[in-house]
Amino acid sequence: MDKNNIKTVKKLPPAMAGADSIIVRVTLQDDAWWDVPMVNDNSDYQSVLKWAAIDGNTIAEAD
Amino acid sequence: MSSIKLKGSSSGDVTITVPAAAGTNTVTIPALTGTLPLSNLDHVTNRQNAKPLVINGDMAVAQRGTSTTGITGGGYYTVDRMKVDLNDNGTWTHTQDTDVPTGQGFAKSWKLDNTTADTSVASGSYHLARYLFEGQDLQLLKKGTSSAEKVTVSFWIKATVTGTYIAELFDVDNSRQISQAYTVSSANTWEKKVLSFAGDTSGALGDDNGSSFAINFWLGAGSDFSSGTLSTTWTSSTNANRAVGQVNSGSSTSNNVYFTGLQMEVGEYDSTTIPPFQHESFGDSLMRCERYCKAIIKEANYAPVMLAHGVTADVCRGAYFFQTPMRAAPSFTHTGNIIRSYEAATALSSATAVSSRFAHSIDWTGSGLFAANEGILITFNTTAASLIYDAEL
Repeated sequence: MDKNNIKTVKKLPPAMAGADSIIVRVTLQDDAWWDVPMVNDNSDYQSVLKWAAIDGNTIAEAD
Repeated sequence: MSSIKLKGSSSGDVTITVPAAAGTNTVTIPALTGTLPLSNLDHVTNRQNAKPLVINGDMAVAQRGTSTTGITGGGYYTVDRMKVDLNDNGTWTHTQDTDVPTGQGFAKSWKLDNTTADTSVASGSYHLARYLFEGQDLQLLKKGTSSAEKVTVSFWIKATVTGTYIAELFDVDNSRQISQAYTVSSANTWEKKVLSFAGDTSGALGDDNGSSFAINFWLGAGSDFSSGTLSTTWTSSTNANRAVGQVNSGSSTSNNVYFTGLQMEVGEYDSTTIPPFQHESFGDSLMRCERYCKAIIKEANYAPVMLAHGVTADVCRGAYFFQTPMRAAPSFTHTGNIIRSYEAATALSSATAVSSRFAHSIDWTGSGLFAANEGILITFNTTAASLIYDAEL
């Protein structure tokens, strides 16, 4: 996943009530989407972190 | 050193030579009639890897699909394991193609077709075709030690633009690289290239599942990557020295680049000594690819996708278990309509619950379609659809 192709990132609700969110929903510029686990050895998550490091980009909290 | 010279039956001769030796040594020749395959013996006895280091080097597997248009950025698009890094160097279509070099045993190639040209390459532009390795798979290179192995990369290329191209080995863990120029001599003609690289005594590769090592085939490079002196020995990466002299493959919409037969061998070989390509069965190659990508494609109407259980009237949770554990917890997407069996064909929406290397659970949502704790079969509908799990490097 190319960080330049990311439009928005939002956490998904946790798998169990009271747990932490561990997945983010990444929407790309063409509105395709990917669910990306928040683990460092997932290369898409590395792209998300690079995207989030750019001023103005924020990972939204889950609904 | 002593030798025995045997005259040929009509001309020439063969010399058998014994180097300096200690003690008494015996070589037993088998009691068989035939010809020793000396020209191939070295790699047969010395190849350290049981399977090819490059997975899907014959471009046979393309789980994501056989054609993607409108490519302007990096990623994996068609042929498994084959990646591009692309920034501001035209628009491309990738295809798994049947144009292959004649008589080499290949049936598929990876085609990169320029559809919007970049006639004035900006300084920061780049375009690379890449193959990435996990560090734990290349410990046999002994990189970063005094015993570091030489590496030879061989591949077939067919390109419209002739001239100088740059192949590069890149150590991701230590940001070190070595480049080598090669020439595409004839336009739109398959050519085999064999490029040998020195071993690197600095910078060990991580013994883990991370992205450690890359073969990079430059296809376009702005001055940020080409304004220096080509780095032909292993060194800390300096961008300006990585792709000096690289032609611009994206200069015209008439341009194509094809690759197939990609192999990487431990050791130094040339065009006459390079071991033959190790062909794997499609099934073996697919299984190795599935460590990095698993695609489930709709092949039949209402084909099963996974089992699930009802959580509420609106949500059920299903799971898919990977036959091959993935490299890392994968990313997930699906396209097309997914439905519950024996219900109105209401498309379900999905959200990943948990992703791991071994299995993946999904919450499927459809208003009023479920009951708590009931068993549910999730299926495809009647139109094209797919589920993709991606754990690429």
